[in-house]
Amino acid sequence: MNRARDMVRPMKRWLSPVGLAEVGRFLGLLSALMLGATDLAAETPTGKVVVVNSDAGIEKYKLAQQAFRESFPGEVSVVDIAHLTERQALRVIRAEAPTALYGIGAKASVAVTKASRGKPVVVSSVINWNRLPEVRSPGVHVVANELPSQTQLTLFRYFFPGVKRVGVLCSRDYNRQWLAGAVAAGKDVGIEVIGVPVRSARSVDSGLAELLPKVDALWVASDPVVLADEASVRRLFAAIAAARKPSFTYASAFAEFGPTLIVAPDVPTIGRQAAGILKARANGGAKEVQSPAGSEIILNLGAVRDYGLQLNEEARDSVNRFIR
Amino acid sequence: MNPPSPPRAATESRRRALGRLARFAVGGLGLARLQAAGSPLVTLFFYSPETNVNNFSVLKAEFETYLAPMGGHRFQPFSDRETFEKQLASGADGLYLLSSWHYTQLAARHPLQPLLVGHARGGPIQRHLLFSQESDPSMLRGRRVATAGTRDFARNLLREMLPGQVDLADSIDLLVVPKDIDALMAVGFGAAQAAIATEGGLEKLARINPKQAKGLQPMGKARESLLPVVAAARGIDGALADLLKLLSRMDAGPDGRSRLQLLGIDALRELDDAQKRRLRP
Repeated sequence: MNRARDMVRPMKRWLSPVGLAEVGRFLGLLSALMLGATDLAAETPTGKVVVVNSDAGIEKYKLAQQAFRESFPGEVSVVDIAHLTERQALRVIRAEAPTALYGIGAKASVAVTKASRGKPVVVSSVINWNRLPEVRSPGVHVVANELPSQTQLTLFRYFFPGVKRVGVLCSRDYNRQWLAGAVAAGKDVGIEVIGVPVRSARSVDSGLAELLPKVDALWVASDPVVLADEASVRRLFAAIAAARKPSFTYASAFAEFGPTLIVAPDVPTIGRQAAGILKARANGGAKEVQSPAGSEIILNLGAVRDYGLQLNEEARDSVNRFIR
Repeated sequence: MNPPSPPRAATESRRRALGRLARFAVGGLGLARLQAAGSPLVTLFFYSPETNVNNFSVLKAEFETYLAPMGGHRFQPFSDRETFEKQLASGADGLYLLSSWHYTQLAARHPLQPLLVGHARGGPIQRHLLFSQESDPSMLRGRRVATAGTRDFARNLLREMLPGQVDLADSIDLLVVPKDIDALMAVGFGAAQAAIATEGGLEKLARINPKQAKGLQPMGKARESLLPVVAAARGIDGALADLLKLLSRMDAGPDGRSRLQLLGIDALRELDDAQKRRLRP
């Protein structure tokens, strides 16, 4: 799976039209500043927020950073720690004398929590954030990295109202509780979610064989056992395609494997959410964990046609990218 | 992808004359094709502050693929208002597809003529509402409201939906999300305390996830407004007439309908007099 290539795609999409030419960008920024003055002047926080980016060369991180800067009305400076050791990163961050911090990606998120010294901190773009002890601590606000299962199922239902039974493989150890929530969320949207827990990567094939005959579609959800590495991701999608079942999933990085629908978080919205949290909690406050509030949709029209799926045509207005 | 260069005046004049002759001779039958063959290309410029459009390349590719065999006119979406307005002020040849809210502001400054209006679910009217799980608007002071519109559009709606409470409306922190349905769901997941969305947006959520929709009550209501309109900044002839005709017939086939659905509308229809009056600045 070529994550780097996937990271580049959203930027290409944003930059393609003439409207995003240099002059447009300048005017857009100017307008954002002018509107921001109307919008946010009363709540402008004092002090300086330091945005710490794990690697500004990664497009998704860069988009989150850019959206944060456009949305946050106070002083912002940016530190890219891609090539720094943790000790160097902490030194650089502290030298900025921040009054609040925003960490993008796991490396930056750990660094900002260590450098914060009690100042408000928000982090985003961290896979499995709740497994990082630094990020779990009470003073750290989080914008999670995946859309809630309710959102994924609601949007899947929106595109494919005819699909009634959806199967999902998930690890017995890590995602048992998540599965219970997904089954309940499915009931809310009229989808029966059938989960097959797996013990290890070796039992994925047998779990899939058990699941496929029972369902109309497969949901490839985030799971450290089922999606252990690139080879297992590739093998899973290939097996689903061989069984001629539609699939939907949660990350745009999987687009090349041919899922029918991808419901991923919209990265700029994540940056805006982080800005909103720091505006509201300039003085700290109780821990806030938000799910991503925006969605990015990729629809594979070739798969829709091949599987004879009934597509809700009205849903086209929500699509960010078509694969034909 | 720049707008097409203006043709020489003499050539243009000859083409227009030929166009008039053709119109007279064939009585309009097959006119679109004839005009497309002899007319310069024009562009449909699009900008909407009502949606946080982030699928520009999809819109552009889909519309231009559709328009290619029908004269090859162009479609140009804009991400920001100023660039779109500059394009209009520059006199670029084309038609303008824009929100009716934006139209009434621009029509006060430019000689715009409204021609078509979008229809969705059988009508040209929409209404924005403020939905929340709370019932008291004062609870929103300093809190977060999700919207798929631009900040200025949303701020304007908030002032309208919370009449006499400008302070309250201006204290609200706006969270811009890609779509109405995202805004509505953000309330359920606690990322926002309220959402600005259309009645149609809530109906859509209610069809898919009635439980989530049920928790959302309207806390404020904006006036009804027209869906997006197509307008021209000059008289309609030649290629503009050709493009206008194409647009008004897009819903006749599945290819055109699917393109319109990317914009959240089902058809573009001629405006009646009452609708034109509604658009007066």
